[in-house]
Amino acid sequence: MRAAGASRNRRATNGIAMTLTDAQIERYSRQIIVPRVGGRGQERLLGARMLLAGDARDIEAPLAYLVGAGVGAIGVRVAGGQDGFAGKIAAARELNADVAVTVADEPQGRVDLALLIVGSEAARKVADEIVSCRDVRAWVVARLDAPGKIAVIPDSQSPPTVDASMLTPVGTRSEAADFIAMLATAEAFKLIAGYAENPSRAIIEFDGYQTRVRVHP
Amino acid sequence: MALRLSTGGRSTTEMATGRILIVGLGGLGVPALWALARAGAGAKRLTIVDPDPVELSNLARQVIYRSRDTGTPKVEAAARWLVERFPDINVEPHPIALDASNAARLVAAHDFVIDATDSPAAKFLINDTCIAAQTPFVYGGVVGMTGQAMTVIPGQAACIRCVFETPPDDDESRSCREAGIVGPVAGAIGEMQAAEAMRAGRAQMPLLSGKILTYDASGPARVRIAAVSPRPGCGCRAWKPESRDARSRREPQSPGN
Repeated sequence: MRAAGASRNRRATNGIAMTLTDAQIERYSRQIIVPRVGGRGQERLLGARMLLAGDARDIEAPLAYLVGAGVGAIGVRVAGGQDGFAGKIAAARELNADVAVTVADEPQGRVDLALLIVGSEAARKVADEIVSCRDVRAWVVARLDAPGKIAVIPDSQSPPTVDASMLTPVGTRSEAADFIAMLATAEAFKLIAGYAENPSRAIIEFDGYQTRVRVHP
Repeated sequence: MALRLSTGGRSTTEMATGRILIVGLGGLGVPALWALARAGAGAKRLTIVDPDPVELSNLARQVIYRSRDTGTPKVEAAARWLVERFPDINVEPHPIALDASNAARLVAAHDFVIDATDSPAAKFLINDTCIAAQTPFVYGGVVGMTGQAMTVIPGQAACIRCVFETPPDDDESRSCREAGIVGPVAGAIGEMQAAEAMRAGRAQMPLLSGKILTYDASGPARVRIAAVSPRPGCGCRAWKPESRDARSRREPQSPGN
């Protein structure tokens, strides 16, 4: 069965000619059929280069979901060093042969999106170093202290800069930290897939009961 | 071990901890299983139930399965993954569908149930069986860019029939299957379901008891937790006529009173 919206021999928006094989169409079919993802969104995911940073405990699940979704190249920067995370990276690589997962202690060329998960002072310091990188086209920054906060900064922003308020010292960890990290991962998925036609810069706060969204067009 | 469930000044119930049944090892069950395993001490004994084999189309969002697992029963692949990654956890795999012939026996052997199924009929079966067995459970549902979760403490908080009354008809559930699913959206709901199980395991009142969480990722993430009232006449018997004391506590008092 050919999934709705799937395409072949189409040029992805990042300029890289891509095709989805039958196996890829089958593998990603459940997300391809989501309205506004489609085959083009899947091609964008497969052609994307991404940076993921945070504490080991906070980035393991997001990494698995991004690998599963088929984000083509993911550089991983672990706060506190990569020691102990090599096995997790190896496990992530095993999930999906379409995806290259690498250690990214230094920025490596163009990055379509950086997902920074800030759950500790060590993670904040790493995020602080990364936000000065000029080659990042879009950002999702998640704060896991209470109240949880996610900044979504799409590539349509010029320049796509991270607000300093996202990098203030880290307070008490939110009880919903893992949930917030997953919300941020979904926001990253949407930006990379081009889910929204004209995504806006937004700050999403979660106080444990509801989100408050501030959109800055 | 039976522990008293602290309910923050409200009514209390006895809840045993440690034995958690996960029904369904798909988009919701996988993140719930992973989160429980990561939590360690609170979830040493897990039972996993799913009749299906791993398929290629599962791998994008059911992120414990690998390509080489395709064709293997999900419970078998998940149990193998758990043993490799979390050897302290005792897992009992059942490669079967929960149905009317086995639901009562399975639920009765556990202290908390995670409903990670994708079929309305299974959800209502879990609801009715847990209500009969007085076993708390957390419902989860996800379709496209939206998800829901709600915890049911039998006799104390609204159940699934209080909210939805009857399963949707075939056309409605077919349209859900056709809407697709995105991994991190399901992952968020599964994480929340695991958090509810862990709260119960720590003898705390689950956050979503008597409340429903809705998550809409179709725009910037919108999450809302809203109270759900028991429905008068529902078989779960959670609805109680409001007492005169409760009414008077709710009514505004004049300064002189």
